[in-house]
Amino acid sequence: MNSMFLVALLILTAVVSYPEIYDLIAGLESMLPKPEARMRLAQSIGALAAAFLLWLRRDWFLQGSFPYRALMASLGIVWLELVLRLFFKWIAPLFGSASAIGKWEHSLRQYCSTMGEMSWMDPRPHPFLQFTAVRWTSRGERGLGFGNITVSRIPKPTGVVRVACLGNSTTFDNYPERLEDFLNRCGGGLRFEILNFGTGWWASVHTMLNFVLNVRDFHPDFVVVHENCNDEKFRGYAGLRGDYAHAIRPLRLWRYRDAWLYRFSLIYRLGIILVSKQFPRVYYFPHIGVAMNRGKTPDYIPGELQLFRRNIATICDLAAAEGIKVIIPTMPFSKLHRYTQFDETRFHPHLLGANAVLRELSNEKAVALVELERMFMDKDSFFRDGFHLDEVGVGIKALEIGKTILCSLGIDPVLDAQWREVELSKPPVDPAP
Amino acid sequence: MLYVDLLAGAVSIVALEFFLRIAIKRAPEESARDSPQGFRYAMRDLSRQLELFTATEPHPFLQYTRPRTLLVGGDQRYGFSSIKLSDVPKPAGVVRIACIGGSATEGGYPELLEAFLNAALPARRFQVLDFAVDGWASVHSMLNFILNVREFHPDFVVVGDELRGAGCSGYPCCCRGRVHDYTPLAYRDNPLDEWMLRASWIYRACKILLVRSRIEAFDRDGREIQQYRRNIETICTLAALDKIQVILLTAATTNHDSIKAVNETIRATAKARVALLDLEQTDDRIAAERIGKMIAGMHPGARAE
Repeated sequence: MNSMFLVALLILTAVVSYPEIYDLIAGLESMLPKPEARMRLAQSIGALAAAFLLWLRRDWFLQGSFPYRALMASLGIVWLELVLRLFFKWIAPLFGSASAIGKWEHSLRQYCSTMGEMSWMDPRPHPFLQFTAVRWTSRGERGLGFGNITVSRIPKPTGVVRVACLGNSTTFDNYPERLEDFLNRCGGGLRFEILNFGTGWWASVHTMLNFVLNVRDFHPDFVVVHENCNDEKFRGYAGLRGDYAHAIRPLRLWRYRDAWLYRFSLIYRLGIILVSKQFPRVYYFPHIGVAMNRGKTPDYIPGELQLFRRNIATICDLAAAEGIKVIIPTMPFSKLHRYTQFDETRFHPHLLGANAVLRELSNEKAVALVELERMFMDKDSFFRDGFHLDEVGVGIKALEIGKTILCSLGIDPVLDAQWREVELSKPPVDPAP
Repeated sequence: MLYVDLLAGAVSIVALEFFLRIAIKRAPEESARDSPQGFRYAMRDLSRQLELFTATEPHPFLQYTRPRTLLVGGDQRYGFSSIKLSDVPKPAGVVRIACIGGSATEGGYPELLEAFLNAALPARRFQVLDFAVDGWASVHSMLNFILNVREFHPDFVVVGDELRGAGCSGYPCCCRGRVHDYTPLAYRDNPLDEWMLRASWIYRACKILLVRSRIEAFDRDGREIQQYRRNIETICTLAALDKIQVILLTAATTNHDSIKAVNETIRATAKARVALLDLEQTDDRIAAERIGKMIAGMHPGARAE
């Protein structure tokens, strides 16, 4: 091959391998850059050095010589990697997520993280909450593990009504942001601040302990406790204990020695998928869950719901002692969307039982109840899956909770055009049985 | 000659190891405790950490407990000295006392307290449950009270948290989630040189001297005491709702400024709502007797006898 062409190709390789350019045109890794960025920079510098060497000493790279073959092999791998990445980044999405190519693209993106299917949440172990999202530190600021909630936000600004939203993925799903929008638009001129403490996979025990340890620090005026669905995961274990250690274990992040390689090389990642045929960096087991013990059985006992009751009651009691108003929405769910073949026999009875506990507690502790279960019962079109609402449903949830907060403050909400539209999309509520 | 030199070197190392162990072991306890930035304190602290790794089990919400071993017949050790899963249902006619705290409580006065009460009031049966774990601070005790202790429906809870609540302070940030102080306990994170740390105190000493920054003096700003107070108040609030009587104990060691501050906090908390027992400068036996007398005076059934 013409040596001038080879020099040009090497310079081009150096340019595209520059980490930020490479990430822009062929990046398939989620989260912050990791060792692959440094390796890509080394690749860029290496290509530039090879181009320089080739320019100076053409006689070292005669066709058929070892340096020539090594150079061509390296370039071949680098460009094969780049072409594959370009295909999966720009062309594969055109096939749709349901297609085989779409599924490959999804797998490849998941494989860039040791957390695999949990990479969207990127959990970090916590000594008292099992796990939270990343507790970042940046320029003297410290995140508490709940998105943009930081230590510096603890002091409450004057004149602000603060609402803390507690729960799991059904709180993490953006309803708190919609709630803030509703309250600030339709809340009679009051300023509202919403803090989203929702964490995917959490159950009532995590939420209760987070209320005890963190949420109270923020001195919220209201706390919305949206729990139920994930408590089912901890049912059916032998040796029921108040601290859930019979079912839950501490989350440990496993350090994989090849983490640098599977983030750096898509070819390697493809190799893992082809060889193992399943996700090898397993944190999530469909029938077990995240950081849970083995041994789940179909034998649920009422005592397990008593722990759910205790957790929510503890929040209500401690909130009352600090003058915080509690709002409890019931958990809406779809009977049409299914997770397992046991949904009718185990999951739905659990959801109904836990919602009944919430109604009892609402009466017993005199806290506001938002009846979402009855509102969305048999309205399957509002659901993304078994219990996650779609965008319209999330808007309705925010509206209903928002109206309850305003009602509690003695404010009659004045809906603007956008929220009137949400009001109109509400399904008719079935009368209470 | 080379063999003689090697032998002399080996004997010197063994002798140094031996004398270092004796020197640290026989160092007065109080002097070591008085200077957290001191070398002897660091050596003892490292020993304690190594022991904790072997005698504890990680927990998802309490950081760690004692091993929760499965027993025959489906029973299980609950993670505390002598408590089992089968102890949860309260036997009829028993006055149950839960003792929570850290090293000053675990394996100390609770056993003596049970013996004292059962001897002093033979007509009633008293059961004392020791929920303390060495190394725990008030945050652990509070969470343990919320998650476990209440499930045992005690009539009394004796709160003996004093030292660690203040001793763990001094970290930047100071959020109540306490992640600025504590990390999850994970055996995988054991240092690679754990075997060497265990085998050789010379190695341990070298490591401490080289990593001096880890044992700097604490920089406290008072917020830690506020957190301590809040943890104790949370126990008191929930105990009142469950009709559990709370007895707060002050720390028995007072020659440390932060412990004095903790004791003042305990007195202030108790003044408002619960019983207080000033235990300054007493040993386990005297403590057990004084707590026992207080319980005997507080329990309506016991008073009637």
